[in-house]
Amino acid sequence: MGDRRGSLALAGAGASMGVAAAEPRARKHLPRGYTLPVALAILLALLTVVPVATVIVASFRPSGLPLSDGWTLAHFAKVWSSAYSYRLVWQTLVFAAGSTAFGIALAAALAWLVERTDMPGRDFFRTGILMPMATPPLLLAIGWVLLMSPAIGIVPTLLAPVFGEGVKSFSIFNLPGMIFVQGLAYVPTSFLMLAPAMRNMDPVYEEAARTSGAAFGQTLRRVSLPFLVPALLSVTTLLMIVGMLTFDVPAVIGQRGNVNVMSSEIFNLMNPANGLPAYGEIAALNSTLFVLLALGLWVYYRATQQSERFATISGKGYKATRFKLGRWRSVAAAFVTLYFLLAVVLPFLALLWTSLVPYFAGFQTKLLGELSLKAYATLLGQPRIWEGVVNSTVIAVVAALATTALALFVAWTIVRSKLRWVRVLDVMSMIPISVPFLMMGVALVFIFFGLRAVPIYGTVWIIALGHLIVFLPLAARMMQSGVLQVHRELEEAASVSGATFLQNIRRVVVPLLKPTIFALLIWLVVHSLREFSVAVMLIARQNEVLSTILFSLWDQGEPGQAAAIAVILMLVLGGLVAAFTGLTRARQEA
Amino acid sequence: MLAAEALEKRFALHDGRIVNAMDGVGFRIEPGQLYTLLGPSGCGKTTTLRSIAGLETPDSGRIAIGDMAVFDSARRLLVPANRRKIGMVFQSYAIWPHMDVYENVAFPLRVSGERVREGDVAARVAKALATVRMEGFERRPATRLSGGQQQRLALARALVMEPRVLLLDEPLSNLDAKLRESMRLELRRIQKSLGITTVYVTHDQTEALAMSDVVAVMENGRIVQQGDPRTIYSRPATRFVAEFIGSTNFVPGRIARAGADALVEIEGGRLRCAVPAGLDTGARVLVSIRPEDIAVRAAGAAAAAGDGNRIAGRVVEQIFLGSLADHVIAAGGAEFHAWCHPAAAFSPGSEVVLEVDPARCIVLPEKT
Repeated sequence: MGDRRGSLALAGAGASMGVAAAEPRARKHLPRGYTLPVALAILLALLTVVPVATVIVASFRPSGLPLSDGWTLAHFAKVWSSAYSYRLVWQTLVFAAGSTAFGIALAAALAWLVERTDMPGRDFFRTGILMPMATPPLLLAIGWVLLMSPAIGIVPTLLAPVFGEGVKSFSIFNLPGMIFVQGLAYVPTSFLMLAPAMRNMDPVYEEAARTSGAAFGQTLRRVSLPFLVPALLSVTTLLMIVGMLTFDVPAVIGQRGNVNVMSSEIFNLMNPANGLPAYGEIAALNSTLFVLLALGLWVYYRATQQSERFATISGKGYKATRFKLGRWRSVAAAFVTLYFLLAVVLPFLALLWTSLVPYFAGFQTKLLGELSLKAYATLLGQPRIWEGVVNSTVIAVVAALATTALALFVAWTIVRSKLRWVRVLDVMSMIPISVPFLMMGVALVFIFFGLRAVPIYGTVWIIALGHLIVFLPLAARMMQSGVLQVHRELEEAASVSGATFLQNIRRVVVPLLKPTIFALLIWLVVHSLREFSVAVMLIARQNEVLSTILFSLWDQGEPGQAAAIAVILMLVLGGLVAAFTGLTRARQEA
Repeated sequence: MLAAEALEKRFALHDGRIVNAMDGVGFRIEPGQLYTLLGPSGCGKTTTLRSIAGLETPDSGRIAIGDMAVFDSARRLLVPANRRKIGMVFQSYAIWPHMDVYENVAFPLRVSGERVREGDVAARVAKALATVRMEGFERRPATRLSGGQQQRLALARALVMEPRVLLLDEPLSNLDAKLRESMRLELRRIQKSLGITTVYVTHDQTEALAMSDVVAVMENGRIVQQGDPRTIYSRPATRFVAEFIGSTNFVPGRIARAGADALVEIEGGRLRCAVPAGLDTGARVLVSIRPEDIAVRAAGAAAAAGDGNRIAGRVVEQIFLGSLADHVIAAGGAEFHAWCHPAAAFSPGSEVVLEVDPARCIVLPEKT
């Protein structure tokens, strides 16, 4: 069909240009470059838009299931006529804002000390700062419960002989306690986002301020801080969003003190003591939360756009002048050490102690003689654990590979495509960040419970799919910054050399992005192994993973075995994080 | 042979304005020619080159490389870059840092549809490296090359497939001045010895004049003049071309008599010039006179032989530039720059006479 029209026009063109009609291997195309963006747009819509739409539709269905009949506002009416819901929103906001503020303040102080001062041991701390990644919020929370439980916690039992029995009534099962632990969990992420901003700040701006007569404090306030505003804004929004949707700390600490936030309320509604879950209310709560988070996402998007613009003014090849701490050097070092104690060492020791004692009763010297590896032996004797190990490993590997591949193609398309609407891909790949992990779990249950044609409900694949979706935003961002660093002409040279699209990706793009790809793979494996909130909604008998087994043991009053899993998990994650650190450092030096 | 016809490409800027990157660009390059697209940044020369390469898609027009049509908007025909069989050297060289010299050059052979045997790869890589005098560098990591070596490597990679057309995108702009001069000669030598049809993009007029068989000057997405370097320099067609290539003096005037023995009236005198067709008596014009075409003589000195134009003036300033002395001279209601041998320089304040051969006075329409 196209040939006939082509050959008619050919005569004219050939005559006017003196071009013979022969054109070996020339193909007739519509304008190129639509295939991949369109395919990715469809895929991303399925992965991100459909789950969100499912939950929103469900919230308007009388039965609370997306594929049933009828429309209603009853669920929203029920949720929003109850004063409890407003308290829930308020507590969620306090929890998110409090932990964000605490986490960022801590991370900013640490980043400044490590990047811009002469604090002793700063190189060691910079490497070690990622270690808390091996302490996921779930384990951190359990560790702190073991440390601080009133009466039987390790700290009260240690301190009671000295300070009296009064210390035993101190409780962390309240909002401040949740904020403290969640804030600690935020530090690595915030540090990773703030440290480069501090490191890359060209000291010439500060020097100009100082030579203009500004004192140190004035320089900090009027010159340094404004430079950090975009990075601060973007990390604040990101953490606020995570704080509103996270479930680990609310599940472990909040639930004990009956302090509920929206995510734990959704979990409770999904797991009622008797009867069917109130799907409609769950969906209505989720939709409300999603609207709040979508607003947050929009702010985040604006903020990161701005931070990228700012980032271009920072160059390389200069050495930042370091602030001389003088006699405060040891104080600074002590402060950083204290952070590591609180975020890694103490929780780990609490878990280790709990995994070794015959029964949990805080710290007691008489237990020292009874330490044993019994909990580990019991644990490893159960087939359930080994299934969990296999499931977790399969999910982590599959999800990491699939997410990396998808992120690579999405990022490449966003950066390289000349089509204007590819920004839609950027937005779609960011949607999951505003979707509560629990909600994503609920959505996948909704979809695959009904969709019998794709029988992945109750298997490891549905969890792997969940991980792919929730980790996509960060993976896509990391890949985008990687692709941006590859000069466009390097790929154009491949193209004019005769390389096809796939040859270009395989022989030029992937080798050049190797460090980014490896770092991302490890990051994904770590986060998939420790992930809890998505999996907890998706588990059935056959697809339990280590984190959900850990939580159920903990919930059923088996702290020893739960702690044993936690210790093993922390050691594995620690090894992976060390590898990640090594790789990212190699990349920075390259 | 390389031909382009009626190429158009428009970009929308962020503020909504439309820019014509190519506004009816067309040319025809004979086999073995070195054809230069010359112009300031934003004139559309790089867009044109990238359209030939297939890295950019024009909105409309036609491009043919040899007997193969590679782009024709009317027939919705578009051959992708990787099937156009061209060699290209990028401004940044685009040497792949994860490969050594050998692998960089071998890349086009490895990705080509026809399977090239490893022995043939080695032979062809060696030949390409020999062409650019890079023998012995095969196993050097690409990251450990100097700017000049990267440039040669990029050229070897572009030549290894023995393409029909070689595209060069400001290949010398990242080199320092001395190296640029020697690479200019070498590029031209290689191009001539291979007899390869070449399109060369540059904003450097010296490069364009020194290397090209044909120079096309571009302005605002159009080719405003095309010709061999001497013609472009000595007979610029527009004010833009005269100004962009070399230095020149513009004297405003009005045509007093058109025809073969034309006269242009300027302030305080008349200039005998060659007036191009299409300009009639009374038209406002600019006369372009190159500073090296002006002979400066002391006032009262005997006129040189012939019927040259003579304009009386006064030296305002004299700037010593080493190989020549630049004189700023007020004459005929304008300020002239005139270049003399430093030994024959005049001091400021001297009364002088400017002598110019009428054949060197180029009359240009005031508005183009």
